[in-house]
Amino acid sequence: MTVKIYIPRDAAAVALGAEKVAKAVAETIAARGLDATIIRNGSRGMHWLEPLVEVETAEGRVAYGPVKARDVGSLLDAGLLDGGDHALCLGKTEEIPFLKQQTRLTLRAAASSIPCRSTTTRPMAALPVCATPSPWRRRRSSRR
Amino acid sequence: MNIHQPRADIAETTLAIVEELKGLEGPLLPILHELQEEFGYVPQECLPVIARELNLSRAEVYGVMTFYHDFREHPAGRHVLKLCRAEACQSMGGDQLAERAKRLLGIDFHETTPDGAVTLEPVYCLGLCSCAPSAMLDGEVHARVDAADLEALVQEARR
Repeated sequence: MTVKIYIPRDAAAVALGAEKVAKAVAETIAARGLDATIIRNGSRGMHWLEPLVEVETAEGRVAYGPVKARDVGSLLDAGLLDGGDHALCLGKTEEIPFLKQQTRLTLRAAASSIPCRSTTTRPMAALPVCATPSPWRRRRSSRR
Repeated sequence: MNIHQPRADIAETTLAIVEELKGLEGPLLPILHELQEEFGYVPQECLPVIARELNLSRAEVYGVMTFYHDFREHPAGRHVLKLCRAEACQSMGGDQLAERAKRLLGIDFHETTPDGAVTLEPVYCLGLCSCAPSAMLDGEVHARVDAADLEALVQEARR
């Protein structure tokens, strides 16, 4: 089965070399004849780890970062496509404390797929923007 | 040496662009953007044409154009290197980076190297505060720029 590799293309990731990483990954998987495809997603907001490369595995997504173009060869050697261990491996993305400790509502879909694909965000649109009204909103409505 | 030849068709081209965009709500900024795209700067000769066509005073058009520092009154070099000079970048070594860039290029901010290769500009801000200091070379953003990165950028721009 074709393995999905996620490489963000938001401004911060791009400013930190995501384009070069994506190019290196594309060239290396083509040269090695690997069955993988690159998906350019949004950032999860962990800019200190960008470019954050993720790989879809049976156990969920595994993250690597910050990845530079020159790391791509050694990442694939280490079994990137199976979530293999490497000095840059951060384990399962969802288990990274920064993400794990958050409750994400509107931004839940931000990095899960392609930002401009409407089906990515449509099921999320039904979510409340804010679970409890902000104090500012409460004050405003009580004044009326 | 200036690589941009003054164009003979400035008034004509301006009129065509204004005609195309004047139907928009708030057409002045889109027109200025389009002119800068077309000429690489906004020539002085454009302003009276815009003022006349939009029924604005020349002062108003000039005021809007000069308010936004992205609009140039003169052509830039072949490459434009912008360094973010806002708070986050300053706190992450932006001052030293700016001094280094000036030294490497032999110019100050708002100046162009004598060979017409690079224009150096400050910018407030690129919005990459979380990965400061940042820079932009010809529209491409670069973050966590250190001395070596800056030298690579300058070298790329010099080419």
